[in-house]
Amino acid sequence: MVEVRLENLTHSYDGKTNAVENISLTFQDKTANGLLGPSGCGKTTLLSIIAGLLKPTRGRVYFDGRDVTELPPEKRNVAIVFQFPVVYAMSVFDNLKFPLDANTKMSKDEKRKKVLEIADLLDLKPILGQTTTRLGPADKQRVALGRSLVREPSIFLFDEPLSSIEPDKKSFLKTKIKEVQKRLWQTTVYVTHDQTEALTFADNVAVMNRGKVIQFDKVEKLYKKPNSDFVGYFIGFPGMNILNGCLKGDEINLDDFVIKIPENVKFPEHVTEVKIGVRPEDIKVSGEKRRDWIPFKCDVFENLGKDFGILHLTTEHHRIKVKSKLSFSRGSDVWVHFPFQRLHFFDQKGRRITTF
Amino acid sequence: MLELTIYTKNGIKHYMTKIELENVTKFFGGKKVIDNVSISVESGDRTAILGPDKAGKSTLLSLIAGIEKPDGGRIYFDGKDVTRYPPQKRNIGMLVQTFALYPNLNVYENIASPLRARGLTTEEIDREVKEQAKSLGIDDILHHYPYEISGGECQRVATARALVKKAAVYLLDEPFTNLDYKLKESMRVELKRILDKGKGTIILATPDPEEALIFAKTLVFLYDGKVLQKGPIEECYSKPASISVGKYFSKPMMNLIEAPLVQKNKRSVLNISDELQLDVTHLNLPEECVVGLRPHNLYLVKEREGMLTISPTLELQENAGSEMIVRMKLDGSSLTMYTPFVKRLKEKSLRIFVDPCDFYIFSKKTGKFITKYQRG
Repeated sequence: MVEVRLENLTHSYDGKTNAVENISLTFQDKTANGLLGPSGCGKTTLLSIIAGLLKPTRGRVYFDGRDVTELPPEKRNVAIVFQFPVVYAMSVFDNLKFPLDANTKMSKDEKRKKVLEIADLLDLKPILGQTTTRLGPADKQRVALGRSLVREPSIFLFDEPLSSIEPDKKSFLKTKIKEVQKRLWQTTVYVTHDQTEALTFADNVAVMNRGKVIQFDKVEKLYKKPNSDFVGYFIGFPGMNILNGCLKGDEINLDDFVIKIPENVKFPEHVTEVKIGVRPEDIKVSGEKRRDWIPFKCDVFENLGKDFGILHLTTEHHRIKVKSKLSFSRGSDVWVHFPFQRLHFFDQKGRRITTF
Repeated sequence: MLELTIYTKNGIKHYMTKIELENVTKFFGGKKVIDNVSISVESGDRTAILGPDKAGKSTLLSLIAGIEKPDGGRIYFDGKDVTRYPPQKRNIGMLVQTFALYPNLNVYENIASPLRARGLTTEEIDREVKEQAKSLGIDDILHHYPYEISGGECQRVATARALVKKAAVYLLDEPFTNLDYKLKESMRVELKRILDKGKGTIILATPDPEEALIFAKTLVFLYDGKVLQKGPIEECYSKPASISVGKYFSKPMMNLIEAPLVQKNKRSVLNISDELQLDVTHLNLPEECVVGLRPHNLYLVKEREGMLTISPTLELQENAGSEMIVRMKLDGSSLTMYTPFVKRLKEKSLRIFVDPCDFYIFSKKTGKFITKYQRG
C-alpha cells in the first residue's frame, strides 16, 4: 500500500530529445490511475521509470516518501503486466507458484493456498493443470496477471495489457481486472492509448502528449472541464470541435458567422482571440432554416448503424463534427446552433479560459 | 484528383475494373480457409468484406491481388480470366494493416518508389508525390525518415504510396486496425473522402461493422471461409441472414438470448426472461428461438411507447469518454448495452427498457433469421 510520487522527471534516450519532460505527479495510496496518450507520448517511459526498469536522466521517484530512484526493479515490490503476456512453458499452477518458489518463509501448504486463492479470483481453477503453451492470449494474460498477484505487490503496473487480446475475450478480461482492483486495492498505474480502458480502469487519468502531462484529473472532469484544447479533443468520440474566433464587442467573430455573447458572460480583459471548443454531442442541427441558426453544408454523414451518426459539416473556413439523429446527403444545407453554455474557451496556446 | 488509370505498355487506359470470383477455394496446410466463394464486385463499387478474426478476409484479398493462387475456381477482372496472373499484372493498390515502409528511404522516396519502378520521369514523379503528400497532410515531412515520424504519419505515408500508384482496384486490409483511436477517427473519414474522389473499385476487409457501414455500399459477410450474406449493406444490416451475421454485424456485438416458445392459454409465448414474455402467436415461430438485440437498442429511459422493462445486474461499466458500454447479466446470460452518453450507475440492479420491435428472431436449430418482431 503505497503512495507514488514523481518529482521533476525527465528522461532522454539519445541525449537530444526528451521522451518525458519535467513530470511531477502523485498517485495516492490505493487509487487507480491511468496514463493516456497517443503513441510516442512517453507513457511507457514513465511506467518503466516507476518500475525501475529505466533510470531517469533527471528527477526522483518516491514510494511513501522513500526515494527509490536508485533501487532495482526487484527491490521495489512492483508488479507489471505487459502487452504480450509473459508466461513460462509449464502448468498454470506452476506459473502462479513460481514467484513463491524462492520464498523460504512460506510452507508448501501456504503457497498452495495462495495460488488457489488467486486462481479463484481470476477463474483459473478449471485450467490449473494445463500447460500454458496451448492457451490463447487472453488466458495467458490472466495467468500473467495471477502470477504477479501472488507476490502481493504494493504497486500494480499495467502496460497496454489488453492490446494483444482476442476481441471476443476482451470484455471478460476487463471484468476480471476490474474485480482484482476492487478486491485488492493496490495503487495501480494503467498505461494505454485507448480512452475506454483508461477511463474504465482509472479514477484519475493523466492525459499525456509529447512527453508532458497535459491534465491529471478525475475522469469526469477530463470530459466536463478539459484544461486545454488537446484534452478536449482527446477525450470523447468524436473529439471536441475546435474553432478559431475573435472577440468583438458582444460577439465572437468566426469569419463565416458570429456567436453572440450573452450579457451575463464576461471574458478576461486581455483576451481577444479565442479557440472555441464544442462537443459533437452538444451541437443542435436542423434541415430547415431557423432564426439565428448558422448555415453549414453537409460533407459526409457517417452511418454507424445506431440511433445517431456522425455528421461532418463545413462552412468556408470551418469544419465540424456533430452527433446527429438526422442524416443529410452531401451538399445539402444544414442549420446549426451552438448552445452558449455548452461552449468551452481556450486561449491561443490552448489553455482553458474561465469566463465569469 | 485521384484519377484511376491503368498504365500499360501501349498506353491504354482503363478507369475501373469489375471483379468476379467464381467458386474460389483455398487450402492452407490441409485446412480449407476459403470455401467455394463466388462474389461479384461491380466496377467502381465500394465493397466491405466483413467478418470476425480468422474468417479468411486477408486470404481473400491476397487471392484477388494475386499474392496467393486459388486451389480451385477462377478470378475475372472485367471478364478476363486473371487467375494465373502475377500481382504486378493486375494493377492493384494495397493498403494493409502491418504496413512496411522502406526504413532506408525518406518519406519522399517511399511514396515515389512505385513510380520509379514504373519508369516515370523525375518531373512527373515530383508532381505526383507532392500532390499526394499534400492531400494527406504530410507534405511537411517529406525529407524525414520513417523512424523519425509517428505511427499515424507512417500510416499516411503508406496510404500515399498506395494511392500514388493510381490503381484501378484498391484493396484495403484492415488499414485502421493498428491505429490509435484518435487517428482512426480522423483517418477513416479522410481516406473515404480521398477514395470517393476517384472512381476505382474498392474492397475493404474489416472486422469493424462501423468501418464497413461508413465505407461500403455492398457487403460480403465472410465467416469460416464461407460467404454467409451479400448484398446492399444497409439491407444486410437490417436483415442479418443468420445468428453469426447478426452477432458480428453489430458494434458492440449483438446480444443473443435463447428463448423457448411456450404455449399459454392457446397462445404462443416467447420466453425471453422471467419478466419478459412476448405473445408471438401471429408470427408462427419454431419451438426454439434465439432473440438478437443490438446493444444500442437497450435504453436507460423509456424512449418510446410500448417499451418493456428488464432487470439485469451490472457487471462492468466501461466509460468511453462521451459514450459507455455496460456489461450486465440477465438470468445468467450476458447482456451488453451501449449509450451515447456517460452516466455513473450506482446500483448493481438495473432497470432497462427495450422495444420488442428491435428484436431479431432467429431459429436456434438452423441459425437462420426468421423475422423481426412485429406487433400483432
